[in-house]
Amino acid sequence: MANILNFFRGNTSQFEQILEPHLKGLYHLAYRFTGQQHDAEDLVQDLVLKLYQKQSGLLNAEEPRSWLARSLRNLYIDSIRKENRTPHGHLHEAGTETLNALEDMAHQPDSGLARNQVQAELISALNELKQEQRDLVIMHDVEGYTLNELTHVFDTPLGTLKSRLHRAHQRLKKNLKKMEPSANNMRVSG
Amino acid sequence: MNCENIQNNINDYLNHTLQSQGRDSMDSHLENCGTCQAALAEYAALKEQLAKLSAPAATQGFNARVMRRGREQTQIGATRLRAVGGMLGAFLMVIVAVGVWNPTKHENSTALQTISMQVFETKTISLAFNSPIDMDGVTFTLQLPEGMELEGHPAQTQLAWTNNLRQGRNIMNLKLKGKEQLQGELIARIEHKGLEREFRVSLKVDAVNGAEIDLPVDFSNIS
Repeated sequence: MANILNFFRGNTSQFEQILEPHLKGLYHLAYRFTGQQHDAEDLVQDLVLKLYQKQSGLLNAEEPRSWLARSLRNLYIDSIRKENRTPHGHLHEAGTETLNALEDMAHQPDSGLARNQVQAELISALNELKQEQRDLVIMHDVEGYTLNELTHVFDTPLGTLKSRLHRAHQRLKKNLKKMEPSANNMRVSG
Repeated sequence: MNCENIQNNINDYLNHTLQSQGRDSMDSHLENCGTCQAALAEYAALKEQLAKLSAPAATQGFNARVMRRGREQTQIGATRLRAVGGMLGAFLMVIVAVGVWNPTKHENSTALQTISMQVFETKTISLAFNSPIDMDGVTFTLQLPEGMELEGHPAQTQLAWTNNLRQGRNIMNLKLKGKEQLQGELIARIEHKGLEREFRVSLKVDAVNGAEIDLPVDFSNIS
C-alpha cells in the first residue's frame, strides 16, 4: 500500500519548491483580479488547495509561472461565474487626471495626492475594459508577464495576442480621454 | 513603415522585443514624424503608470499559512486513502499504482510490484493511471503471459482497445486467472498521439488449488 500512497501524494517537497516562489506573484495577480486584499488571499488559498490535490499538474508544467497564472485566472473566472457577480471590484472613484497628466507625471517625481488621483483614474479606465482586455493589460503591463508567457495563459497565438493588446491599449486610452470633460466640469464647478 | 505600422508595434518597441531591422525602421520613422513621436510618448507614459499601480502586500505570514493549509489537506487525504486501502485489502483486491503519466514527455517502461496468485484463482488487479489532462482516443494494449487469462477473453494473450482518460485518477480493473503454474509479466501499454508508456507487473502463479470467483470484466471503469 506504500506505493499507492506515494503515488497519490506525489513528490510534495519538489511540488512545494516549485510553488512557493510564485506565491507572492500569484497574490499580486489575484489582487489585480479581485481588487480586495482578503479576496485575493482567499483566491490564492483556493488555488493552492486545489494544486495540492493534483500536484502532478504543476510538477509537469513546462512553464510554472504562466501555468500558475492561467490556473489562477481560470479559478477566478469560475468563481465570478458561480457567484454571478461583476468582475474586478477595484476602485471606481472618478479621477481628475488624464493622459496629459500621465505624460507629465512620467517625467516628474511622484507627489502623493496626484499619484493617487492618476492611479484611481487609470483603474477606472481599466475597469471599463472587457474582462479579457483588462486581464491582458494587467498581466502584461502591470504584472510584467511577457507576451510569450501570456500565449500560454490565454491559449492564444502571439500575433493574435499582440493585436488584442494593441486594441486594449487603444480602448484604455479612449477611456482615459473620455474622462477629460467631466474632469474639466469638476474644475469649473469647483 | 507607415504611421499605422509604427503605432501597432509601439509595445514591442518599448519592450525591446523588435528585431534590429524593425527597430531601425521605427527609429528612422520616429525621427521625422511628430504624430508617432507623440503616440510613443503617450504610450510610454501609459505603460509607466500601469507599471506603477500599487497593490497592498499580503497579510503577514500569508505564504506560510497558505502552504500549511495545503499540507494539512494532503495529510487528511492520505489518511482517507489509508482507510480506503484497508477496505480494499479486505476484498483481496490488488492495487497497482502506475504513477503519473505525462503525455508531453516520451516515457519508457515502468516495472512494478509482483502479484502472486494460485492456479485457477481469479484475482482483480486495478491499475491506477493519474493523468495530468483529459485525453481522448488513448489506445490501451494488454499483453499477458502464456497460461494467464483475462476473464471474458479466453485464450487471448494480447488485447487492444481505445478509450478516454480523464484528468486525475483513472482505474482499470483486470480480473485475471492463471490456468497453470507460471511466472511472467503483465504488460499494459498506453499510447496517445505518438507518445507511449509501458507498465509491467510481475505475475506469479503457484500450483495450489484455489476457489474461482466468477466476476465480470468492466472496462467502462477506465474513464
